[in-house]
Amino acid sequence: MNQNNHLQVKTDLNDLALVIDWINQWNPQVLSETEWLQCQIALAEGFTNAVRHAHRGLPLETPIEIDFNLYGDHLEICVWDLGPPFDLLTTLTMLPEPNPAHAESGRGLQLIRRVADELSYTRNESRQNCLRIVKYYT
Amino acid sequence: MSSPKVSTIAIEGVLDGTKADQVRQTLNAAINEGADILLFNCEQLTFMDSSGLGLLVHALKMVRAAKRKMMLCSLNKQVSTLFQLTEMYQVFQVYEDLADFEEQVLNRDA
Repeated sequence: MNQNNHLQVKTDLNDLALVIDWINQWNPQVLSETEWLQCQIALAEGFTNAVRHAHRGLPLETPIEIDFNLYGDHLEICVWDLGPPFDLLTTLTMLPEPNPAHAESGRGLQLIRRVADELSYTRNESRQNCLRIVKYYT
Repeated sequence: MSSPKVSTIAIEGVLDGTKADQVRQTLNAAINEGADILLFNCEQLTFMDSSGLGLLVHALKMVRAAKRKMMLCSLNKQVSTLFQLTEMYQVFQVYEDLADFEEQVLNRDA
């Protein structure tokens, strides 16, 4: 059975706990605990990337929308921002692997890429960007 | 040989970029008080993101620059999942819980 859930938060890093509590209401039994935690990590990075980068310089009230959808064989997490156009996938291919012992930042996108089975960042006609993370059940 | 002086830093709630100043100040104080080992107890830590991880890497550099040791204990499953994804078990000395730390580190050095 399909299930669709929606949350709206602000451009505020302090909303991360709220985002995590929200997704934690569901625990799709079709995923292992580790895979489910990996999805939560990917969502956290998608949200904080929207706050820090896509919405840089925008007011705190600027909404970030999150969808969490469960389908027959996969789940989908979408993070919608109102930032400028950005070529995420090209950026990803150019980012160096962070050195585990030294890098203090730059891990967020790599984490999302590592977790997601499918990853896209697209812009719609309402000038919203959608970071879409798909994870197939194993 | 006397036991090393351990200063425990309890990390609570969500560890992310918003905690940078808090972690830095607590760590500086512990280093200045002469602790040999800085133990980050994560028992009450609920969630860590990559910025929180960046804070720990920064803390490790501060501790090494001061020629002290940094260790972690009591990581929950979310944090250990994050550590596995980012290969952090190669970087940090991590103990199962406080008892494990005391047994492995303090008894050995006593």
